Amino acid sequence: MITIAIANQKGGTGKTTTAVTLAHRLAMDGYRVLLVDTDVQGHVATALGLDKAPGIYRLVQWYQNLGDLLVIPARENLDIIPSDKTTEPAKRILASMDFRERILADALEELAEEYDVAVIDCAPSVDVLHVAALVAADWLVVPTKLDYLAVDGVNEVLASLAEIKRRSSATPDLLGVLPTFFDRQTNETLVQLKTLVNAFGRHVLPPIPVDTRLREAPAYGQTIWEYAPRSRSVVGVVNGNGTVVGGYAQFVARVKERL
Amino acid sequence: MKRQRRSAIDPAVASLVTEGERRQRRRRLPRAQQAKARRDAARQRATYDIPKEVARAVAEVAKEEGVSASAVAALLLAEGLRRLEVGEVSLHGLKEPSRSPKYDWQVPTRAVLEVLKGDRTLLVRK
Ligand SMILES: Nc1ncnc2c1ncn2[C@@H]1O[C@H](COP(=O)(O)OP(=O)(O)O)[C@@H](O)[C@H]1O
Ligand SMILES: [Mg+2]
Repeated sequence: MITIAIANQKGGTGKTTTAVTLAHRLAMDGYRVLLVDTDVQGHVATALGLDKAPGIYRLVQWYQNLGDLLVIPARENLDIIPSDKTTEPAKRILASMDFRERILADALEELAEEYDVAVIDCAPSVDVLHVAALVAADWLVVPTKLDYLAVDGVNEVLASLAEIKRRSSATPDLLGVLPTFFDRQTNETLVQLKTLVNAFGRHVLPPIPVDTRLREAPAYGQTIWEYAPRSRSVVGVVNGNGTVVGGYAQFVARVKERL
Repeated sequence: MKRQRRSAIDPAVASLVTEGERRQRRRRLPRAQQAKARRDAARQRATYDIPKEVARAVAEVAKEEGVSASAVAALLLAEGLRRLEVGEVSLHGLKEPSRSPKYDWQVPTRAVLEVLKGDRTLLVRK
């Protein structure tokens, strides 16, 4: 099983959208996928048309030998470990436990036979679950908006990644920095894209265009593959030379190169 | 941005940056030139290796119609491509196995000339 963590300490950078979109596409393409929500907001479940549920709370209980994992089927080939507001007390319990940083790694090991890919959607904070996600991950994807804080935000995640690599045997690698809310009409977008490229070079992935369809889809409990599979955020933008650039289809293709 | 840097980045990202820079340069041009630059950016020069007879025929049609050879080539290609897409025409009967490592198939010049003369056709018989 390959584990991909989607993380950025900043909120609203497209983490959950990216996690759900990636997980569902891989499932549609025949991979057996587990999607783990570590954010108290529980938006992974709602984006898939399901109710929020105490999946992380139950995970922490499982880690204390107090019951089974809560895994919910969401689509064909796609299961989720959901989250809700009980994730907050769960984190407090976890914070006092030994080996807390291995909780996700151990849980995924337990489930390794059942899935080809695990995707972990991280909360916009540096807490025990953020660390646990990076410890469990083989790859890290950092979605970022193209604003003046972008480089800082990515650097913060990479700093925590470096710290974790130093402390544990886990070796997650940066799969890529994913620019989101890409709007090529604005100058700022281009300036920030260039700044990102200068800072992170080949790690900068083709961007996801800004697209209101992406905002609408979760309200219907649908992924973008169900709601508007031909929308800009999927197929990308047409460049001057006729090539198509960016979008979640291209992102998924880049991810598949590492699977 | 330095050149060697750019070669080490994702090709799709590189093309976006290049295009963005071109767009910015275009915005700095006077209005009249902006429109022309935009038109030029939407076009591409392509070089194809085609039989002399075909090139000559394109030039003749262009002269007769009073348009550019590029216009004739673009239109006839567009028509042919659309027909290919809907299955009205096919390359099938004209392809032969190729010995080149680059291509699986080749279309001999002779076959192209026969099509030009009307002795053979790409039309799919229904
Ligand atoms: N490329 C995009 N274009 C437009 N809206 C987007 C895009 N990506 C995400 N959104 C919307 O922005 C909001 C924040 O995205 P989300 O994925 O929840 O971010 P995060 O998980 O990082 O907080 C959501 O309403 C989402 O639907
Ligand atoms: Mg989120």
